[in-house]
Amino acid sequence: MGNKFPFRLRLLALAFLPFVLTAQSRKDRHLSSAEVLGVRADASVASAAPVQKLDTASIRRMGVTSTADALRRFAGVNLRDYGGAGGLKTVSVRGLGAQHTAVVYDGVTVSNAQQGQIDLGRFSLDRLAGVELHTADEGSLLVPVRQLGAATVVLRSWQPNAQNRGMHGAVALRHGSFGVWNPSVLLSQNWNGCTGVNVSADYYHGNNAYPFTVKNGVATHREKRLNSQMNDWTLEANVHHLLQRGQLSGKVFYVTNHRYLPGPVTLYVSGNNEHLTEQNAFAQLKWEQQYGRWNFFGAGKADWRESKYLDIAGRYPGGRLDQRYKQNEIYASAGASYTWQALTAAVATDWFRNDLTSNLKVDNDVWRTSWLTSMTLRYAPRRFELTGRLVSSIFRNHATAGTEAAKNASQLSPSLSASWKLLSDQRAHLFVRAHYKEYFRVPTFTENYYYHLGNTHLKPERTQQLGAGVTFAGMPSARWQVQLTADGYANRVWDKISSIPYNLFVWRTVNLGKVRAAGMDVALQSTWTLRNGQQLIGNGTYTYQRVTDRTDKKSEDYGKQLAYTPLHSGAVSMAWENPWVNAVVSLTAAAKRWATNEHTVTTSVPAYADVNIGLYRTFRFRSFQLEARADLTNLFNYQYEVIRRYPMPGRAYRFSALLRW
Amino acid sequence: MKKTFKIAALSLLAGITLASCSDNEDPKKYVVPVQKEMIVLNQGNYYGGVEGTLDRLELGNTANNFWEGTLTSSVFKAANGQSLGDSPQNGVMCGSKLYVSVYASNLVWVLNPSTKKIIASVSTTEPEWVTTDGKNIYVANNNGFVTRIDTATYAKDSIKVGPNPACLVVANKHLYASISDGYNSANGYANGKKVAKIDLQTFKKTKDIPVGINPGRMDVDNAGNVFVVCMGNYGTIAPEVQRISKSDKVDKVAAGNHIVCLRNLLYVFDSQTNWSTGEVKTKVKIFNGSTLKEDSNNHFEEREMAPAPTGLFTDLNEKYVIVTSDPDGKGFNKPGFVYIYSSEGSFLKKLNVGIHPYSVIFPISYVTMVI
Repeated sequence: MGNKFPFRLRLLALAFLPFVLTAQSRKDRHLSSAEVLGVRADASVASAAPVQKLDTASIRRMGVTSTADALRRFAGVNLRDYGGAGGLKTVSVRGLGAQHTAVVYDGVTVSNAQQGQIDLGRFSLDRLAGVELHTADEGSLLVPVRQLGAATVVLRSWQPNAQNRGMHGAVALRHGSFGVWNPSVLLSQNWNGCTGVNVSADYYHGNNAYPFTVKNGVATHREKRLNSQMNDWTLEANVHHLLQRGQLSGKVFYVTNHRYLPGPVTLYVSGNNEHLTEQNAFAQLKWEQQYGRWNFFGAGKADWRESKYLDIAGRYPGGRLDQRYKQNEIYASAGASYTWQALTAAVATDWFRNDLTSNLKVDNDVWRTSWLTSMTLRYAPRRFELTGRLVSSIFRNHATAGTEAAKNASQLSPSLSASWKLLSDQRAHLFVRAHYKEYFRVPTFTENYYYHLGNTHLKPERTQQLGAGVTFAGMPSARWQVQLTADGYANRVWDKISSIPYNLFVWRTVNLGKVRAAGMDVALQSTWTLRNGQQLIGNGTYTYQRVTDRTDKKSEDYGKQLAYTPLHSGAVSMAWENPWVNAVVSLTAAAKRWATNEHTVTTSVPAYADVNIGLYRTFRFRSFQLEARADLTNLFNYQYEVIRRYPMPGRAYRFSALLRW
Repeated sequence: MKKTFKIAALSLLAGITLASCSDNEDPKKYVVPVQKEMIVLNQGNYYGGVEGTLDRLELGNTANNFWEGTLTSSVFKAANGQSLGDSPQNGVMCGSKLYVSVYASNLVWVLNPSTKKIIASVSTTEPEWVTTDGKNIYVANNNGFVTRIDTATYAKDSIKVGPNPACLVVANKHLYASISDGYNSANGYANGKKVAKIDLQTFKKTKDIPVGINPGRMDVDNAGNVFVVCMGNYGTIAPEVQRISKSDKVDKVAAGNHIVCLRNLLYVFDSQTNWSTGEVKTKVKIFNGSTLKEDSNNHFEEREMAPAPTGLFTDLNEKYVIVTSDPDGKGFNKPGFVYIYSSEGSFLKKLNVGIHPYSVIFPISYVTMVI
């Protein structure tokens, strides 16, 4: 579709609807859908490692309402969602744990060395032009080494289009249930046909006090998720400069977020006094250049992150627990590749330094320097592609005098992937692929140093992935396009980092645990072109994940499905695009899970299915374009939890409007 | 509560003895206190969203079948159709009512001990422990207070005792509260390290008795010695048991993290966790509470030891050592056990109970005997 701006139609702009708008032309709609299918085929058909992508058109057509919602539509993903706009949202892929999932924002990895996992709820879907999930291995040869996680979520923001001259902009407003107001503005300026800049600001306010049911037998009652208010400001500026056979892109980003934490639902008690204020600012620059058979890139980033946690309760000295953390990161990456006929060799190296300070006597003044190097060789004759990669990782931990520094670590991580184009003509593509990969994660600062939890002697947690899959993309008829991917895998995790309680308040973190995962991911997309410019676009994903504890054969947990990992999960959506008002209905579902590795009635978390419906339409008037959208989420008001005692919102509405020029 | 039971039983025994001296009288009816059941409080797993439960073991009426009765799970929920709450701590019987403290749910349940049906609930902040002097109920609140509850009206009054009181015992006409300052671990538990002594008559703190770092559970022997487990800092300072004499003199007894008193004897369990494997090794010592000399009549054996003790208790007659235990030291997510030993340490019985058993209660039942 070629949308340049990130923001959806917001409510204020709806006032102009009757006066200025005309429907989008039939030609535009047809082109957009064809383009989207083409992108999908490019991205995931040819890759030796599974890649799943959502661009803005897909997001719209699948009824996706948030970044977390986008991710749970991918096959192989297990989303942990603590509910509501402020609730932590992380994803683990193919049973490997959320801390193995790297998150990349516009080409540079987002990190949190303290906690090791990224809260994906903090990335507004409206700021994103695309979301991708790279499973098992990275398809691109020349990427920063840190991007090579066991799985990688790639987020792409709206970049200024350097070739689109003049000043452009967008204003947007989104309003939803539970007191959500979300205005935003974006301005974009381009010079000389080769330099573009955009700046954007986004504000979010929500009370988030949604009702939910406390199921407690005869004492079952309705409550509201109190203490959930959130305010969030995000400011972002991007620059994009086209070079001769290269490009330079930079970003400056700042977000401040204050939210109340409602905590888990506790029987017979309501209310909570926890607060969290987080700030994050970073600046990053990435350069890419081609010289003949050579390709180069360089990237750098400086990141500052602060969090203030406050809990007001009589149990603490002085009646409050006040924990303040600051993290800094300096990051640099560079790489080069050379292509000779069917052979490409690439080398990349990353260096970064992370430090953590706090207002605590412990868990303070620690830092880590990391040096990662990858060497990749790819042989790609016409129908076959074989890629081998070796990553060397060296980590050095440091602490101020008086604190024991965590154990240093070094790892060599090989991977091998292959794909074979069995069939490729104008009407059908058929690929098969296979991969093997070893990777790991280092302990977080919390796991190393946090008082009454940390252990400085931890080793990295290691993973091994083996998988194979097939992709078919074709046009069974002139009006019907279909793409099917299916992947099976067998993964292992060992030296798993686990925390063992001494009592409720004192824990020890150790390398104790083995996990085995076997599963299957299936994704199906299909587009039917009807008469009068109408289209039906269907999407479906299915995930089977058998993720079991393999730590101790004598243990009752041995062989049992891990906590919060559904055996079956999936999503389906169907969009009807037409000259009048486009409509989409979608469903996401997960089978029964358990809150702990013990499988009993008391630990069971019921299955759920969440149905959303949406209506949307784009109008044009002269150089203006207005996008309007209305959604009803959780249509049947089904009360469910992804994480036990963290209820998800019931039925809610959402209106959004975007006016751009 | 075992003291209350002892008083009731002794009074009754005296009455029966006197009655039996009388000649030529018709048999008389006597109301006798007995223990007919043991209630196990399972804390559940608050972080895993698993609620607490009460399990009930029916007790036999002879030494041979005493522990052979039927075990019934989740009796509170079955009786009331609703959950017990999150993180129950312990329970005590006073008069004809059973009181159960539920930490995270901020309440003390008042129950009918026979039916387990709710009579009332008393809201109170984070109750860590509940005990009685036979007249009132006393609650250690984690916010630094001890609350007194009138058993007839449930009226409450509170006194400040010190940060994070962990346990309460009644002895020597006083209430003893161990002050852990457990939420101040980063500052070395600086405002704890003491046991607050409260006059039961005036309900006022009379003094703070300095003890070791991070004091937790306590128990009393039949000579009025109060024993307290000082849990240390979970690192460089190991757990240690200390004795507070009737004159408030403090003596070190032994290393250990769980205690229980049976008459004049103190049982000390010292459990050490291997953090690499999650396995727990426990050594048991028995001391004379007055002389602090180790008792050699100790038959506790490692092979029959509870795998990960969470608490030590005894029955109302103080004949058995009862150990609540997790199945291992790796977490609170699996159903636990109650191990029962004779007072010499002979293993008698293992019960399968709910997740993270934390304490047991022996409600006093009264039966009519004809003698």
